[in-house]
Amino acid sequence: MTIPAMCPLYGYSHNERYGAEHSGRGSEWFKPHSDVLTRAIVVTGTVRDENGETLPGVSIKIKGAAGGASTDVSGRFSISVPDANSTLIFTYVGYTALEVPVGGRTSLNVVLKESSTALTEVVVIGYGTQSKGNVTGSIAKITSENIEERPIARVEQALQGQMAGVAVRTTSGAPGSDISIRVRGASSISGDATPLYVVDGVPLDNLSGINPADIESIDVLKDAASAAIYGSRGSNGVVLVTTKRGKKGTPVISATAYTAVSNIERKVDVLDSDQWIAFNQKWLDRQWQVNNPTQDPNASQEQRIAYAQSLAPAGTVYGTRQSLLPIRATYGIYDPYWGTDALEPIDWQDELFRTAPSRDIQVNASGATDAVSYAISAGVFQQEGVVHASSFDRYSLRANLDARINKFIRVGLMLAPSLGLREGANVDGKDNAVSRSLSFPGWTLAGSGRMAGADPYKFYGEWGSGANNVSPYVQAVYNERLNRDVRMNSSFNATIDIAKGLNVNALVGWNYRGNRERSYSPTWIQGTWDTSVPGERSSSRYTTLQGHSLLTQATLNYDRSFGDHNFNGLLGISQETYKEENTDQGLTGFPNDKTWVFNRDRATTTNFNTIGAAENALLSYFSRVQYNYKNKYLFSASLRSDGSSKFGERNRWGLFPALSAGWRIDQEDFMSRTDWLSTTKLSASWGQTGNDRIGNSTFVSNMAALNYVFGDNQAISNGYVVGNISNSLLRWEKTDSYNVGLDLGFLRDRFTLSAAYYYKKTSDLLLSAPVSLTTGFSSMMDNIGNVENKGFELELRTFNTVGTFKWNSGLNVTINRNKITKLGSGDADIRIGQGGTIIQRVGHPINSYYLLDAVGVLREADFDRDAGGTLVPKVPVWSGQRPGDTKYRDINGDGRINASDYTVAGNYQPDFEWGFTNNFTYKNFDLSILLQGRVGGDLLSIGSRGWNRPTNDPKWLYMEQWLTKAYWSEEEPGNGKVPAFFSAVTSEYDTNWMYDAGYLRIKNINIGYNLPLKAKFISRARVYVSCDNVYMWDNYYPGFSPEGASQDNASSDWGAYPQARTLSLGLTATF
Amino acid sequence: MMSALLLSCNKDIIDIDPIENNTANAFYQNEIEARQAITGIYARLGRNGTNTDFATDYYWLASENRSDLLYLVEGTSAQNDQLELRKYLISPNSGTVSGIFGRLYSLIKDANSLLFRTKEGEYTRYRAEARFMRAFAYFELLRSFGPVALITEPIENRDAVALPREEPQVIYAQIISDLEFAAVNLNKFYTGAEAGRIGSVAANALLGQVYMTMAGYPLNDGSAYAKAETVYAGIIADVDTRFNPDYSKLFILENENKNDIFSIQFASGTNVGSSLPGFITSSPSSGSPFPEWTYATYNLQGQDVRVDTMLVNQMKTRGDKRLMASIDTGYWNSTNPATRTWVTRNIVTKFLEKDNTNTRIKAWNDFPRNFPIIRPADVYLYYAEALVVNGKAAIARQYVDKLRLRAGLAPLAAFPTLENIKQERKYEFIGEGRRFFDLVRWGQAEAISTLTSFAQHYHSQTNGQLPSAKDLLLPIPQSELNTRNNWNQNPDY
Repeated sequence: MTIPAMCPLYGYSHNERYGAEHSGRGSEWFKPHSDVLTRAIVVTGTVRDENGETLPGVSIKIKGAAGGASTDVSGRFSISVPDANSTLIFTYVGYTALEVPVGGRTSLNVVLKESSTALTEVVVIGYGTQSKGNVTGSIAKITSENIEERPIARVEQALQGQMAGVAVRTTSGAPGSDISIRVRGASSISGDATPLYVVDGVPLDNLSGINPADIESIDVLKDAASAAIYGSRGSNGVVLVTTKRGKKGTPVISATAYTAVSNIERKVDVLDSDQWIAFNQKWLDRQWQVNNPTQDPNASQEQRIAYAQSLAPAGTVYGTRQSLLPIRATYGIYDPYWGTDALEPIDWQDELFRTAPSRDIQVNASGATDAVSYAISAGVFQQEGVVHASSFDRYSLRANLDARINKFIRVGLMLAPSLGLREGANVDGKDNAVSRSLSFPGWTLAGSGRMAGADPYKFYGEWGSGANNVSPYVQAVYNERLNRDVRMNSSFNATIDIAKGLNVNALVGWNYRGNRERSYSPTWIQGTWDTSVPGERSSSRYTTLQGHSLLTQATLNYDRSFGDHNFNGLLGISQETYKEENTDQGLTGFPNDKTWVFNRDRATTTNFNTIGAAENALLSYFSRVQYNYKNKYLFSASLRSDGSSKFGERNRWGLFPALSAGWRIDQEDFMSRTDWLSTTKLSASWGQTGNDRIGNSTFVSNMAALNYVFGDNQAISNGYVVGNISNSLLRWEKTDSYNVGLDLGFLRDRFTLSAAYYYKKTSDLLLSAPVSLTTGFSSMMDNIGNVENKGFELELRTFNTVGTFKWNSGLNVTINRNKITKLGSGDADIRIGQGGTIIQRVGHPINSYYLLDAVGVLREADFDRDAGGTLVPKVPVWSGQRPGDTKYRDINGDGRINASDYTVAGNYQPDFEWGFTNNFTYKNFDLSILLQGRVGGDLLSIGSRGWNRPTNDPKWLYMEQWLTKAYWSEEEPGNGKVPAFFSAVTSEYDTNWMYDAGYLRIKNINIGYNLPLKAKFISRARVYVSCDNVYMWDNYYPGFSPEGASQDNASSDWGAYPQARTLSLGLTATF
Repeated sequence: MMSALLLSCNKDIIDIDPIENNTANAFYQNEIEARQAITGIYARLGRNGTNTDFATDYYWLASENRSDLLYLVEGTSAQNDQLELRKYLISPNSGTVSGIFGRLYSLIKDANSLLFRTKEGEYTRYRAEARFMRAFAYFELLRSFGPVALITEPIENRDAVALPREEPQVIYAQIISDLEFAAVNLNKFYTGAEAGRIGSVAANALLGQVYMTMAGYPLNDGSAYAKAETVYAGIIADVDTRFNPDYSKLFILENENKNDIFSIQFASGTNVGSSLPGFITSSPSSGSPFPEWTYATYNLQGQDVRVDTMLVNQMKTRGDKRLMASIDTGYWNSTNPATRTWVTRNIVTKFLEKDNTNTRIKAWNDFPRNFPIIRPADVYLYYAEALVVNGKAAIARQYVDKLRLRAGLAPLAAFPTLENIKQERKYEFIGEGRRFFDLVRWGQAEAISTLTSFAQHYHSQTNGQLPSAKDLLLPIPQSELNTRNNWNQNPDY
């Protein structure tokens, strides 16, 4: 792999800051000067370009010494050098850096040559590399610099906010959890829309085992012309990860370390402890008034109890807290514990979340001789989560070795074992700790604190959320879970040069994954511990998964120029097989709580006891031709043929062609006089790619178990039914993608602009689509339905100031429009998720929300009363609605509200997303700021129905708005948006739970300082302070993060693990 | 090395059969597999991989819940399908309705698959059972949805969506043919380890019921009464052997499969339990509302539906012993005599296993009680009804009296009238989902007026609609109409 040279943006700072590492000239830079006794002199002069124009703002440094200067507006400079033998280094954006020995002169006229960085910079493409200037598709790239100097836990994080068209989302803040990446929108509904990951040429299912510090570059193939070489797996883009190789020159050892602390990014605004009591009292007072209209509305508690007593059945005495409970709601009785020492206030969010430390240590050694290059590294990453007891540790090693055996043969070996340890209960989702921290009132029975609910404490009883509940802290901490993920990524490759420009490469890659997870939930933390014997409700579970994927691949490469004609050809064949075996064992009911280890004979119930296996295979042939004339007219074509075991016999093979062309206008003669315009390139591409991410063997009709009972002794008999429809025509999803790109550079690439428009049409969607129920099935896996994504991407990079104080910026904007254009039989809607709130409907984006449209709150004026006092609505209402209930929009105009008035109310897709990077350097200081955000789009907070919904009984906890902004009466109508907490119709799904998901976030601020070192053994050291998720502005009310779409096809939020604000202190040193 | 690599790329490597599953084409190859297939067909009436069994969805929510036996106490809460069915507001989008429709067709599909993939002459008993089950499914589809597509072989979606709503007479002909095949190819009853399986008596009893339904609204095929009489006359002696003279002993675990002709079978603890008792009254979110009857962690699912107070009073006045065997009029809310209070509610507890020590029953959908589809009383009352219509009330008298005596009532003073039979049916089958279909069978006008007066009495405050002709059928599921354009929705939905 060629060493990626630096792009213009980074090239500038590169020569300054990283030259020692990458240029191979490091040893010279710090060579001690022996003739120290010579005296300082002043050198003046002018810097011009090749056309004789003067260049302002050229940076001038003295090699091996402090100090520097820059040219003025007329290109003139003056600099004091330590001695007559000094060497000056001239650097300027878009020009090749020039070293000029002073040689005793005091006047210098310097001519800088325009650099051809765009030509020498290299991007990684499928099965090869290409110079960036000649790329005709759409490829985004980041290099190690973006990764190294900022603490990141996972590779994907490095991409967030950095690239147009690549949306990175942290759905769960749980340590070690996967991060969602979408390249140019989702082009699949049922199939996974995750891009294909390829690490050093070997496809990989997941990047969690990859150590970010090992990465040299990440290239994202965005358009089909680039990705089509990956055929049936390229539809969702391809992420190519290249790890570091050794470079010639002095061997380099680098060590980096950081330590960090994290807190939750923000808390959710639920009622605090005192507000909850106020809320309850307000509701109970209203209950008193509504249920007992003949009584004094302001009756005291004593009067209410006395009144209830007067109506009580004989023998009933309302003398105790317990006896008052049944009449609580009827007579508006307060919990006698309120205002006494029997209860203690608690903030469940404070109890569940913590300040969590993490640390990371990396050591990397690399070097190369003519015959051998090596890069070996070790990394230890330990992260504790902001939820108690959650953590992720990653231990990784990597060895990349390349050897030139003789003049013709090169071989390489890559070994990268890693171990990932994840601990902590699953806290996301329904009824789990995070959502519980928002739905439990902030009171516990005195003395129990955060251990409430676990033996020996009971939870705050029926006056609150119920005695059998357990605190979220206990849920998170004492439900043990340990997940161990052992991964071994390895590959061997050999390249043989056959003739000039012709070589053959063979690659064998083997990826192993061994995953084990055990979990244990003891009886003493169950809410019903007091009615159980120890062990009775304990459960233990152990699952394993072993997966092997094996890749064998051979490619023939031809790369030659004939005069002005440059050719590159590729021919290849590859075969991939994947095999997995899994087991799942789970038991409940143990003799005691002493251990998670179980023996089947000792447990009372077997919950899980399965062994599973699966395998699939992919056979591929691929080829590509690239041609250019004088680097001016560029063409590329590729063709791949894939055969996959996942599809029906009749559609097992597919062809994936791609074509692209580019015109480097800046290389034309007529452009040589255009000074203000530098890089100018137009490109266009078309290609077809596929997506094969469905289960194995879904094309055949399988029998599914369905058991029944027969006989006097009610014995279970094994039964089988036909479980799914067969579909011998099942094939991959096919994406046709068009891309038009324009790259412009101004003022010698001081400002560069890249714009791309794309149109992706995915057809033959793999869809579990509704079929006629008369077939006996409700749905079938089929290739029906089309989705289109079209969008516009813009990347702008500028060098705002040069010289001593340098400031450069990068702005990227992504606009993507996603729309379903066709679905199965008769374009029938597909509804999924809680309450069927997620809908796939033609004309709307994937995973739209299907809800009643709440338009306000019904008022007394919306009703008449008939002679009997019964409410007669004047506006369309849901049957049974009263003043204070949510007012819905009558979508079908039939004068009433019912299930037919559900409508496509919104979706998670933003209007646009953007990222804005700013890098500043001043002398030894550097500062970078990353802003990032999205505008538009909604998030359905489906889980907040637990704490953000009128239930007409405030025993649980609710958002603050239910006390302060809700309708309580005509006199106290609230803000007109929040319905009455005592609403009648409360179980429908409406837009009251849908919130604007736009946000603006200061994603990262990083301040570094390069230590001015005197020591000879150390070439560079930088200390930095970095803060992630610094601040966020958003409108998302009932949850922790507008990115928390983790539920129901990753489109709605149900108490997702909050993101962390992380403050880190780090040191990197190179020896 | 290159050539070695290329050689290793064998195209066969992508031919991979599923490891985990039996494929449908490779199934039905031997006696065990045929038996497993028929077991799966029966299991469609059980939980079917969902939370509710067929009896709960169909006979309780979509039938008893729409009749004049149960009323709804409160306005709204989470189970909207149940509320909307009760208030005649049900929409074609209802999950319960499409669940019933889809489940019956799943059963038909599995029966068709077995019949198609086994040969005529082999596994005759299983084929007979499959044809019974298919007939049963089509009969319920006709009763509840009106004409539907008739499918008797495995079918692909593109063919299925082309099928029209078949004429009811054609579907009935298929039902009758299936049931006659079952009746001649099965033993009368199966017992012991095979108890719960279809016998020929069950096939004939269902055939009689099919004729009785054809004779009534909406087909009004008068000739069917005579056919029903003939069929019932042929099995009446066998039905007598299953008659238990004590009504209160019918619905207990130890008598299951002894006093019935065909029941859906349930057992608790292994995902094959009945969900019906979970729907007998309103529930708190956790814990047991009837601690005297159910284990501590038991919880409920349904709405606060209660039995018509007038019905309870009538039965009390008559001294009808079926009242207390079917209904409880209240319960203690605690097991502690010192603190408990009596909750007065008329609720159907016929299928509730009252045993608070039974730790296997932890969930609302996990009861061991079978649900009867056909029991001797069905045969007696249908037979009597056919006899009365056919002018043979004198013969009918013994069968009506047999049930009256068991209920602790005096024998009829005269030959039974249709009115007598209608009354007995109402009291005999409380909670068993017969009433709504009886009302429909007896005529549109009578059904609507009976249901209307009930709705006016109980549901004027809960924003329900009054029933109309449309409510005698369920709507065709909207999801079904979405997949095709050749069916009309049932009128007025």
